[in-house]
Amino acid sequence: MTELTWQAGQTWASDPFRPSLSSVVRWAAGSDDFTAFHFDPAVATELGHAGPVVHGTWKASVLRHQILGWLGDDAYLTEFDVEYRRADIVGEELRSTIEISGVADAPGLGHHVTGSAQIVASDDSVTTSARFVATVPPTRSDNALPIDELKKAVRLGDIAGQVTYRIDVSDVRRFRESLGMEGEVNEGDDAPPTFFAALDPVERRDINLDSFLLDLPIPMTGGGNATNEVEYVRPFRVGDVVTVTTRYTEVYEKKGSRGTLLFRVRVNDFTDAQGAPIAQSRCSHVLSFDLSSSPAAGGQQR
Amino acid sequence: MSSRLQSDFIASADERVTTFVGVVSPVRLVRVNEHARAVSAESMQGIIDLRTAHTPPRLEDVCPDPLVFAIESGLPRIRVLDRQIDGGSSWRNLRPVPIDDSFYAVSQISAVDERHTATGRLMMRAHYETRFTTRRGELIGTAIGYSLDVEVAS
Repeated sequence: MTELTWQAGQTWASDPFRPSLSSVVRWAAGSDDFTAFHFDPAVATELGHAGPVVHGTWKASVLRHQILGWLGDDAYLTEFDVEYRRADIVGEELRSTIEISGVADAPGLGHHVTGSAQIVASDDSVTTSARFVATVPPTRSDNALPIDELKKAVRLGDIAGQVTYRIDVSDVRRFRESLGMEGEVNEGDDAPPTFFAALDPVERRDINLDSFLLDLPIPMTGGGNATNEVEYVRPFRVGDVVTVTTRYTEVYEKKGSRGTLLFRVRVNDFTDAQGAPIAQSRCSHVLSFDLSSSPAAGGQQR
Repeated sequence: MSSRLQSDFIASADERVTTFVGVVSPVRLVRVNEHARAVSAESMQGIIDLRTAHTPPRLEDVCPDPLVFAIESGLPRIRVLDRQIDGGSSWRNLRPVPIDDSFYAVSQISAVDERHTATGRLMMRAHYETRFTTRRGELIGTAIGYSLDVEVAS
């Protein structure tokens, strides 16, 4: 990965700009806000303004795009808060500034960049202020799998996550129906032996630490569930409140017939409301990549 | 929101507004409107790098004005004082917005708080919050529009 170039204290400033009547009319159409004082001088004047008032959300959008334009094509905002301190009038000169207040490592995602941005009027008063958190993805190699980054992202060896589910009658009924099993389901009934798979937080996307693998610049040729094992102390039952503790235990690659295979192995410990063990499962998922066709290897992207 | 405003506002106990807290809109099915997105980007031509308008859409692109979005969903605009103004917006993106599929939006007046200005005027702030979920129920993120209801100096 290329090293991040951002650091706290860095600033950016725009050239002066003037929102035009054309700007606010287009913004009204795009945002569906046709409040008249944004583009009708008579209505604006009647409300005590010197002229049509620029949409606050237009100013927010300008700041947002300026932040992304500065941080780079792949950056995206995860948090953005903006407040409008003063109305700005169409045609008046404005400028904007951005400042980075912090940079933090985000395993699997890149880096989180936090900062503030503001729009300033010609009298140097701040009319709009914003706070943001952006994610700047790393530049990844297209001829090697990011094994170390993946191990860090899934917290290999440590608890990756813990989720609690309640097993309702409808859950077990639907599961039994999918297996073609008939009969009534009642509170306290045993769930089928394969029901552990329905309580897997990774399958349910309640724990989702390695989704960046789907965005690698390496062609993916396949993937899916590789292995499932389960050991029961007792069956799951309707009415159980189950806490699932997930740990990734192995991350490795090996050569396969369809390319390079990337395995992630996880263990789920299932406990009841009193903390007593119910079961333990061990599952592995595989993704296969074609490293031979990456540009760095002399191939072409599909 | 800025730390100044966060610490100054307190939950309102005014019965004129507390009855609105919790009001929920009907569920709406929404999707990315690329035409609206393009028109919005044109409004900033010459001011921003237009390449940023072609990045994967976020909730700010689907819901550029959270207050308007929530009002259009059927929620009432609280008007108990003299003047109502837009008090700002917040967006939280937790997962990518579906590009080729529609997704759900549910709006709610999630809170009303209040403070007094430096000149002693009462200001109430209603939080119009919209939650966006995929059709599988996965949370995409939230958008909040803040409506300020203020006393005008007599």
